[in-house]
Amino acid sequence: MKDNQTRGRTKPELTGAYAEIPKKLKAYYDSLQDEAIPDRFLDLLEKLDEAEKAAQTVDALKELE
Amino acid sequence: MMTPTPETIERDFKRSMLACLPSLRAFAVSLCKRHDYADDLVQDTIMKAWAKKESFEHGTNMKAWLFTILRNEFYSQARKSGREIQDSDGYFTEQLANNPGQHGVLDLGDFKAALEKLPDDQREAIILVGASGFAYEEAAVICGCAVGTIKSRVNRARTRLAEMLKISGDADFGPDAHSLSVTSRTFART
Repeated sequence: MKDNQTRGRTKPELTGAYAEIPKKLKAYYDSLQDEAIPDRFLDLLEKLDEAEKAAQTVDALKELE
Repeated sequence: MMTPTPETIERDFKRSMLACLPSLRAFAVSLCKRHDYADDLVQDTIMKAWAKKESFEHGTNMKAWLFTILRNEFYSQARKSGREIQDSDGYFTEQLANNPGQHGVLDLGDFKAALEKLPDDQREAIILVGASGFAYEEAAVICGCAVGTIKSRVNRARTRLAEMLKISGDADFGPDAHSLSVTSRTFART
C-alpha cells in the first residue's frame, strides 16, 4: 500500500517523462531526415532511369528490324 | 481523373521515391545505428525497389513499400553476415552511466545512446510509430507481425527508454546519499 502511495505521488513527473520521449524521438528522427541526401542516391536513380530508357530504345530498335 | 500513362507512372515512381529518401534514410540509420552501413542499405533498397517496381501498385503507399524492402534487406543481410539479431528475449538493459535528465532537460545524445541500446525489434517499432508517422497497422504490415505485437513492442520500448534515461523526478537530485537513504527507508517500510 505504501509503495502504491509513493508511486502515486511521483506520477505527475513520470507523465512528464513519458511526454518527453515522443518529443526526443521526433527530434532525433528529424535531425536525421534533415541531413542532406547523399549525391550517390540521386546519381544512382538517374543511372537506373537512363539504363532503363536505353534498354527500351534497344528493344524498340529490335522491333523495327 | 485521367488514366495515368506509363510515362507519368514512371515519372511519379521516381519522384515519389526521391520524396521518400530522407525518411527512408533516417529509418535506415535508426536500424543500423551507423551512417555508412545505413547508406549502403539505402542504396541496396533503391536497387531492389527499382528492380521490382512492376510489383508496386500505383497510388498505394510508396513509403511503406520502401520501408518494407529496406527492413527485409536489413534482416537478410544480418542473417547472412551472421550478425546477431537482437530481440527482446533475454535482453537486459543497463542504465546509462551518466545521469541525464538533469533539470528536466534531456540531451539528444543521451537519448540516441538509450535508443541504440534497445533491442532491434523494439527500436524499429517505436521509430516506425513514433517518428516515421506510420499507424500501428501499417507498422505491423512493414514488420510482418500482428498489430498487438507492435503495440507491445512500442510499450516496452517506451518503458525501457524511461528506465534508461531515468527521467523521473529523482533524476533532479541524482543518486546522492540523501536519495539513497530515502529509497532504502521506503523499501524497509514495505
